[in-house]
Amino acid sequence: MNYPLLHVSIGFIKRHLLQSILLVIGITFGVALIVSVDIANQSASRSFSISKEILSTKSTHHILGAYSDFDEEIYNHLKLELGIENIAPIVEDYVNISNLNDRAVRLLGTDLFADLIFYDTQNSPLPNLSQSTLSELITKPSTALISSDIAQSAGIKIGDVLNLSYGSETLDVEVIGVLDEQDSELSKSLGGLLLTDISTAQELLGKVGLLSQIDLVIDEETADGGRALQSIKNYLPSGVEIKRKDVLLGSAKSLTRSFELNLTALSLLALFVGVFLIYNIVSFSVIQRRSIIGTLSSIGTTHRQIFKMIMAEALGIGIIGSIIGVVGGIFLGRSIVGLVTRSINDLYYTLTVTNFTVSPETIAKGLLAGILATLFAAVVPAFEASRLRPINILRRSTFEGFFLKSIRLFGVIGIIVIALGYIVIILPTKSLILSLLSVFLILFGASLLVPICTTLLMSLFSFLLSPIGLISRMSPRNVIRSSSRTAVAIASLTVAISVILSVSIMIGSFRSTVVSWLDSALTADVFISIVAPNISSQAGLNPQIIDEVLNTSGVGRVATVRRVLYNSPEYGLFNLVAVTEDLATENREFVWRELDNDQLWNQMQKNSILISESFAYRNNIEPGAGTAIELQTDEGIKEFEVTGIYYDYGAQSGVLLISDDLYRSLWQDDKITSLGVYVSQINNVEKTVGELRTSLSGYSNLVIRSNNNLKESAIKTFDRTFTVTSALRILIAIVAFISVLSSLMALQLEREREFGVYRAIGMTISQLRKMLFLENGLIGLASGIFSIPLGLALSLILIYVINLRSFGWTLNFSIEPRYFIEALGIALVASIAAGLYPAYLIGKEDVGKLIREE
Amino acid sequence: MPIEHSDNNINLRFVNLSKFYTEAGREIKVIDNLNVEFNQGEVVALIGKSGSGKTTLLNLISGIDHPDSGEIWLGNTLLNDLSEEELTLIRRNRVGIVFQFFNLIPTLSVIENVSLPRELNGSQGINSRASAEELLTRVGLGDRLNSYPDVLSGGEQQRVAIARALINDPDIILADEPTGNLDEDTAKEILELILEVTREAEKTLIMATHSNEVINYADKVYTIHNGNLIPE
Ligand SMILES: Nc1ncnc2c1ncn2[C@@H]1O[C@H](COP(=O)(O)OP(=O)(O)OP(=O)(O)O)[C@@H](O)[C@H]1O
Ligand SMILES: [Mg+2]
Repeated sequence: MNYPLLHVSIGFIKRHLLQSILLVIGITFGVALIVSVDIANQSASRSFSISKEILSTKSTHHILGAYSDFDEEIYNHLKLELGIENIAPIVEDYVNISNLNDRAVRLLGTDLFADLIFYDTQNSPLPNLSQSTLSELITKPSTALISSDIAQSAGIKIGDVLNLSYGSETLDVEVIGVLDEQDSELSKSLGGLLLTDISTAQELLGKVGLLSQIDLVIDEETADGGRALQSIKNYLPSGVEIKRKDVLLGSAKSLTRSFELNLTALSLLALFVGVFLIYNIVSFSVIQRRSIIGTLSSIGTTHRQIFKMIMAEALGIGIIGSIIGVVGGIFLGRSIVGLVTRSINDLYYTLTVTNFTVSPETIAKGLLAGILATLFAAVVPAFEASRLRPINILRRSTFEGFFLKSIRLFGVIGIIVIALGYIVIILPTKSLILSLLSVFLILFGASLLVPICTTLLMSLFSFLLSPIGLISRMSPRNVIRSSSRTAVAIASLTVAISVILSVSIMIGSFRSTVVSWLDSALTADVFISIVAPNISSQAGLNPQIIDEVLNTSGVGRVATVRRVLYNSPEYGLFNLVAVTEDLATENREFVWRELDNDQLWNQMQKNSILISESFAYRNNIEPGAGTAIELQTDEGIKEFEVTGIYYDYGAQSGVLLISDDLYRSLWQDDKITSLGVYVSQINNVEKTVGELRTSLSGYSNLVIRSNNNLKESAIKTFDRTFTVTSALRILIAIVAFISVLSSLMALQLEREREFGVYRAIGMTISQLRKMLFLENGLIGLASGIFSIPLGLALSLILIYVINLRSFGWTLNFSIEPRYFIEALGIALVASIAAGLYPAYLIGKEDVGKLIREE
Repeated sequence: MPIEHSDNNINLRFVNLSKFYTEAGREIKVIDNLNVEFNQGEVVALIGKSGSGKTTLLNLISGIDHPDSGEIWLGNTLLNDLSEEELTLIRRNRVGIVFQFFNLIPTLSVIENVSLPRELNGSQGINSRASAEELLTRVGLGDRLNSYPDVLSGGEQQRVAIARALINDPDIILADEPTGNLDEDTAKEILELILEVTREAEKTLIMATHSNEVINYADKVYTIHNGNLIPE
């Protein structure tokens, strides 16, 4: 772009500083949304994967038991007999600190000297500790190092004692050092860690002689490494396997994947709405300088030069807006990270994100999205502007005419795009990416359909309103007349509102499904469970608690649950849940079952199991007799027959339900995870809860809750899970509002002359404002009306495709009239509110100026 | 607040009327202490160089622009005293305006464009339609009632604009270069039409123009120069 034109641009920006600022803000908003969600996503998943990596950044392989711990002799054999180097034993699980409000922390026991080899010298938190501290940790029992976040937030000093509890076990440990995590990349997620010598951990976790994991560094590429790996594989007994770390991380990550997807989808939608916004704002700024552009072209500036000038300006503003957006996004991300972490904690693991990560990719993504969206959004207005000839500077009729002629074509393309979207959904696949793609195709196709639908709807309104008078009849026609602006405003509002509507329907359906499932699944009157740090904890209670409960007054019967996280090569991570009769089949809703209740239970006593819907979905198990599942048990590999598939919304990883007797006979595990108590007299539930609290007061970490109480807290957890979603919904609404505001302002600027004529031939200011109010109301109404079918379609995809593919859950589609009223309300309020300011401005304009013939 | 004035035959009167714009700190007197009267039914031509203040004067009469000093009387009404709302009503009911660029409303059909000023008064349907149809027939567009402006020629659009200016039976018609955007032949047709219909209805017509042709038809011809109206 040549120098004088640059001058024109800068001059214009200076004179319309406020508009330029608005433009930058628009871009900033879009970019901030993208960046913050990305940060939240990455920080969570990164912390998540690092916390799985534990301390050793360099380890390449892990040895794991198929479902639980394994004998530590395996470690000794590998090290001493096979001479494997670079190997470290690990015992770990989550424990609660009783004197810190049962705070859940990760207890990691390892052989520190063995583990030292894994540390990069700069990265390790350990070399900062004195040699004497390290030897004290190894030689003195019940000592621990804690991560600095625990130390800081709880005010723990060296020498303090922590009362740890794990299931029925308790242990007091002395803090002898704080892990110094400064500047260490991995330390960012080292939060909530308690590091002890291996024997201390084994004692507390009741795993004396057992290991959870062995970490190794093996270079598979070298001959030695390959040989070592082979010899390890040959040696490992069945049920214990060696796996590459990256493979393991992949499977662990898949748990949070659906959660990330939720966020990613929202951020992409935000981008979609954001591009609309930027388009509207850029065209607004082009329209403002029609006369300058007209003059430029009349004095011989070529179309190309004008096009370049506008694009260069868009680039400049896009860069500024995107940079500010990235910075804003980082701040916004900080608060979203908090929300996300909480949801993940509720859902999956205890996760402490002490610091959040901003990767260069995130920044690049934000910048690129902002700049490209701005350029993309500027192409049409820039083209439009470069076509302006001095004679029709003030008339958009050329472009408008072209637009009106194209709406049918847009409509046809829209229908084709929607059809494509539909085809993508019904493809026989479980791909989430494809289902997201179909959402975008449908949104995009619907946006293309908006102009023609608007024209049809407005013609209808014009017909309906005609008896009222000419002015009311004019409004819908004005909306049609300015389709190229109004349709964009309506489309952006429609997309935003349909997204909000569909998410409301999905959450609502999810919630009502969970509520009714809780009603049927929670049959016992009182529930007793340990304070479970998270679902992966194997902590349990000793069986003698059953007698203590039965001896409490008011207690009728007791049922027990044992829940362990099982990791099998064929079925991935899932929950193995062993239950006694009362909790097995009663009241369960089945997708399919082979037998009636009594027979089912009889069968379960022998060799059959039930699986949850999500387990079946994930492993492609079709309803019907004849499916068998093989599992590694302590008695060797056993085959189980699947006799039923039931609905379960409790664990995303899927559940395999087994009878308690069968479980205890095959696994050497007498622990209990929770108990269901049936009271002898139904109106005495709260009293029995009180009695149980007294008789079980010896246990420090029990939660005793009535049925109602448990349901309430489950629903609270559910609601918390969707806090982020709701927050992002609001952001999308804000972006849509700004988008509509800018397109209405652009429209009003273009119509100044028309308004001048109305005023000149005798329309009062209040009549003019009424007309605009009606027009904006119609724009809102149209958006609201269009968003209903679109929102319903999206919600069906969310519920029956996306949700099914990510969770494997069937939700009951449930809608409330409230959602639709809300959608219409938001649409009307947004468009009318967005129209208020331009209408106010136009009333104040000097009529003479408006109609001045240039 | 309308104030009574003695001479009932006088339709428009300027008393010490002045209008100036300040631009870059310099004061430009566009209208300078003007004292002129126009009688009911007079056809007045305003000529003058570009920038001499023709549009400004017409805008003052229609209440679109406001004087800096002096009075404008429209019949018995002193415009200076009126609120923005009242001035709008004056424009709607007592003044008809014809523009150089026609300025029809593109979303309204021909007959709706003509009815609009009547409908703004709240009168509806048949009544305004009937008058509009009558007027359109008068200007020769009786067969184009339901067409939209964009399919009409410039001359036809200006005919519609003339009909629109007459719909509320105003006292005075203001025309700002009504033929400025038309070819010679059409310009002549339109000029004749305006003169015909205003004389028929005994309206005062004040027309700003470059066309010398008008001089032959007008009752009075004024040249604006240095803020003064110089009779020809
Ligand atoms: N809003 C305004 N601000 C400043 N100056 C103005 C304004 N409106 C008009 N003028 C000035 O007043 C003078 C008269 O303008 P006006 O439009 O009345 O001229 P005109 O005789 O109608 O010209 P033309 O024949 O070109 O239409 C011009 O010098 C113009 O620059
Ligand atoms: Mg003029």
